[in-house]
Amino acid sequence: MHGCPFRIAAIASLLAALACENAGTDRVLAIEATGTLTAIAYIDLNADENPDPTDAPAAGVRIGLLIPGTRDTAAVATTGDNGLAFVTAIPVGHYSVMLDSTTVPDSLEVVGLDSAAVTIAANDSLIVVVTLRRDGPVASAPPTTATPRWHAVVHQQHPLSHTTSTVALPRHLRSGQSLPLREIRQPLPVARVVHHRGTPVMKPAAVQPRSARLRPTKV
Amino acid sequence: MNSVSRTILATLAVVSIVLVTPGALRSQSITGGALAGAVHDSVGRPLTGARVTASRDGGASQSVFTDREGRFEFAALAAGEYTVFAEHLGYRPVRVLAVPVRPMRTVEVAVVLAPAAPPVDRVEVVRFRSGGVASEAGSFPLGIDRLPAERRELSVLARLVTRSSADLEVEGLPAALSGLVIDGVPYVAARHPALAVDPLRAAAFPLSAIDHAELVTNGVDVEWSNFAGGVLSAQTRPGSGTLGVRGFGTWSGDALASSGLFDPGAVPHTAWQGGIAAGGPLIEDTAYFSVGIEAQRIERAFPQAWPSDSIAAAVRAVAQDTFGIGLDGYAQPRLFSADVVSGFARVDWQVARGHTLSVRANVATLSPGDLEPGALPFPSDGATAEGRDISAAATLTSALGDRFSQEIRVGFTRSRREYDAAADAPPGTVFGEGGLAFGVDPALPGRFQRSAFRASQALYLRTGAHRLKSGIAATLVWHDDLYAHGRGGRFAFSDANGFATREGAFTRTTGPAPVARYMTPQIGVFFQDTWTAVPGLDITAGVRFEFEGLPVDEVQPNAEWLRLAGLDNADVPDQLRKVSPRLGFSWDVREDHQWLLHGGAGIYYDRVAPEVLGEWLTHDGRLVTHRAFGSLGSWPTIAAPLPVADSGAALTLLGPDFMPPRTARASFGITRRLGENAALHLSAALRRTDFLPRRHDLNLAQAPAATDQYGRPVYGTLVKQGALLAPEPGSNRRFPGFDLVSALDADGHSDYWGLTVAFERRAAGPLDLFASYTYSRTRDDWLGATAAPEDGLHPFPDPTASEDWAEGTSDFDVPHRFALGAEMRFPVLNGLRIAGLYRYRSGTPFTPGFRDGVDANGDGSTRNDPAFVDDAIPGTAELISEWDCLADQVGRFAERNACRTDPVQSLDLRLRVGLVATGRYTAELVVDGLNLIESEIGVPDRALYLVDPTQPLAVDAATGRVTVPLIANPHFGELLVRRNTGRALRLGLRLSY
Repeated sequence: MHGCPFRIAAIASLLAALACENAGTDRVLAIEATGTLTAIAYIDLNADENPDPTDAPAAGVRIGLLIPGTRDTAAVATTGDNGLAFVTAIPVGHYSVMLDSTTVPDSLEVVGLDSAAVTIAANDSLIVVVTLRRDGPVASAPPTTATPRWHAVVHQQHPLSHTTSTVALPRHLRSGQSLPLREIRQPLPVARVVHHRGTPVMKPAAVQPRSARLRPTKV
Repeated sequence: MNSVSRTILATLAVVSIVLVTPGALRSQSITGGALAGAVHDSVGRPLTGARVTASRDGGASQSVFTDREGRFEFAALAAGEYTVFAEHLGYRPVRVLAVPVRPMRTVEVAVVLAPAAPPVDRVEVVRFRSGGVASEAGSFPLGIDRLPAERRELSVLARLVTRSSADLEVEGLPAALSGLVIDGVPYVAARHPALAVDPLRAAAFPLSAIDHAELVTNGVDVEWSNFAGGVLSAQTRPGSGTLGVRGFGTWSGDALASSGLFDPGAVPHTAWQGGIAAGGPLIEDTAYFSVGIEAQRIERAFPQAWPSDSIAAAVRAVAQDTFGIGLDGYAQPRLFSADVVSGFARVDWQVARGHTLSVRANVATLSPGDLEPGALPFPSDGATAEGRDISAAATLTSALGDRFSQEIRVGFTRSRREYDAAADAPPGTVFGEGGLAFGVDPALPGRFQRSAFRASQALYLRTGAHRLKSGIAATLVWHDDLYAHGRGGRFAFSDANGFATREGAFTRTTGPAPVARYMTPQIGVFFQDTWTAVPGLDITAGVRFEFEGLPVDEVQPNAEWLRLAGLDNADVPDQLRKVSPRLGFSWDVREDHQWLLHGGAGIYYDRVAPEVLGEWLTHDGRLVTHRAFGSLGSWPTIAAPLPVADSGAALTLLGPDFMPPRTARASFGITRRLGENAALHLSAALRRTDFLPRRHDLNLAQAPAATDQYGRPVYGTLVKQGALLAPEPGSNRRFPGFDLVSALDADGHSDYWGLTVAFERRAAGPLDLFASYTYSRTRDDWLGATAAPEDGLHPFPDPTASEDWAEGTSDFDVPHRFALGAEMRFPVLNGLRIAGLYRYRSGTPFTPGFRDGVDANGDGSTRNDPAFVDDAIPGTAELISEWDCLADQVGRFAERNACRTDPVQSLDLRLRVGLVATGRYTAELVVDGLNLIESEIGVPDRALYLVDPTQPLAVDAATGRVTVPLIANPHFGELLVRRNTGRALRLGLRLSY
């Protein structure tokens, strides 16, 4: 019977040893939600600053999302031949939208980037529209391996005022078209895709103007 | 000596009264104990059928008959002093006086009856000789009120135990995780979450209302619940069979105060205490009462908040000349004051044979008084605290037969605290230069109220070698809080010039009244078996199941945050399940009480902290935090809009599978009796507490914007104003429109181990003595356990980091604690008694960092960043040579709590001498000397470096690295705010009838 206390002590020690596991390590709340970015780059052939079937898609235009105040690129989208680019699984948050000016042919000028600062919300899709217009002499497109030169854009934002509509995408991009990069003159509305009864539709976005965020980083 | 006397002495020699068996596990109740023993004749044969009666103070009694082995047992007796009367036909009866029945213990009484021919006309009366020593170091060896203390409520007893601080910080856990259990009913006073300790938490329980108390840290009994730390368990004083009245009064004041560290006489103060208590029978042999009232005015002087230097003088001058505000009060000794009135009453009534009802009520009011300086981070001049506590409980103990008994307890407590600032006080304002602070603490105002109803029933069954216990306990707690940190606003300025030009930083929380009204239910069931495996060895195993409800329906969902982040602040389970197994043993080796072993292990759950639930319910996005930096334009009010400002909603979420703190604890102890009246205790404890709530900022920018010159990740855009450093408001946020979005995750943990050696000698001649020493270490990753919300943020929040900087020395780590208490009695000198208590403890740990107002990593907190120990900065080498703790930190970020303030020691003495002793009247003069050995206590200047106000931030355009200009702080480690009190003499008079 004298061994009994020692067995109890052993059990107690075992309990204590088991208790040394940190049981709370997996009880951490984290933001895991992501969103989707759709970039639309088009050449505004009819100069109405709205993408429609009469316009042409712009391929190879690279759009980036940067964490404000940082040089960290959270997402990059390069438009394909149809002028569209998709990036999925973007961590939700507020981002600065940067246009890689090296990917815009010199023969095109950037008329508008609809939003310089966007907020990716959970399970939401965001469309960034880049409006290009022919201007000046034709220039060859830069090599795709060029180091991005992010161009900070500063502008005001205007939410969509028209009713929900789908986007009529341009079908073609004329080869060899490029325009020199100029200052953005006119912003386009930001729109986001939401799912209405399973059908993706565009709706005005509630992106808040945050021009202060667009100042160059002091750090 | 005549023959009668010799006969009595001979009989006394035969009628042996054995000692208290420290069988902590043998009894079944946490409020009552057991009384057991055996009756033998004078030649050692057991007497069967002897009638044994146990009565308390000649009153409520129970009777049993001895079995074949002469054994008897009273399994469920309320704690108190009992008289045991044993009788048998043909033998002279014996009455044993003053048998102490203690909670959770079995007192063993052996009675020897001498043969006597009828008629028997005489009863042998003897006094119980316990030779008693405490079974564990948690008992208070010198009783409740024999050693001097400044205050007179129950919680001051914690200073006698080296496993706890004087503020009930038990085994490396904050005081909030420990609590009071009065007559088996938990009592939790309302408290401000920013208060590290509440010195008046037990105001409703003055010492004169307490009969017995004990610090329970590893109570194996399954009835212990609700506290992850320790439990200060007390039984209130019952009435007695004889009417008695006692009273006391004390006085002290600035005329009797002195100090080698400051001038307490500079601030007039007077403190007095008075009280009267009475007890006696209500119904002879059936019902007894105890009633009393105490009142005290506490006034205590503290050193001046600010030093007498040019920096403080410049700030005072600017305040006076520019703003018309006098700050001279910060340059003079301060005063803490409080008026406390408490009353208590208890009635014990034997309602029927075997059924005893105890009812008690305790009340206390705390009139508005100056909030104790140091209770909050700011020396809040003129801040007030007001409170009212009510506690009532009833216990029905029933013996339902030889084997069955039960205990039913119901209790109601209500506690309210209201903290406020002086009406004309300026907002909280801090300065980088000098570390000065004045104004209203951002933690003010606040109102907290708890109302709790508790009921429990426990059934006890004794069968063979087993003692079974099962029961149910239910608790309903209503909360009514009004609090949000930072509502008063907070300014930070670099120095007096920045103050004059209103260039600095500003933070304030606004919005609707942050009211949290909710109810949390808890119900538990428990089962336990105590098995006497062999005589002397008891083994207890039990388990407790509990369900705690959360006020999920009370939280207001924040739709915007759900849309943005996909996280629902209302997505919390409405019920938490807790399972608490317990296992323990107590072994009286060889049954001769010379070697006693005890040990145990168990799981102990706390409840979800009210401050956690309160913040969760009030920070639902309706409160808005405003931040500004740079030219503020005005002070003490801010005129909007500000040039560089940001506002965002404040939101708090609970982490997944949120649970209240859970402690797993194992302990082992040996007691070696040294003769009749002394014992040596050796005990060890191992504790692991997890599910501690840690704060993470969900709205911090997704990634650092840069690093500083030491590689510290920096969030947002750092901007500098003199010696202040902060992120540009809003630049460090993930989502605009929100400020700090806190996730309170139950992922923190704390580890403790400790060894205690204690010696005690009591009731032996002229000297009672105890000495206790505990060596312990506490490590945890719990940042900002008792601080402002933002102070708990991790300074290196990268979750992918391989090493967690937060894992380190705990804020509550106090390696060395020593206490020595003694009382000497000189009966020939009018009953002169001299008592003293000496205490020593290690200093308080702190992390070398920066001054308040420096947010080195841009996470929004100015109090959480460690310094990188860079010996290339001029002046650092001198500091390293002065502070050993810095020597091994060179070239890296200082470890958490790497340094420590000076040790603290104190000495209190008491002299008692009888003035009058006539019949039942006695009068005593009591002279107390308090804090005769002074130590400096306060908030250390943890700034190893100051931001150089003369140099700009340097940013490397290529790498983005920012270089913060730093200069060594020659005042590192010195106390910024002193909280030590001076020496004081106190005169008192005690009367009794």
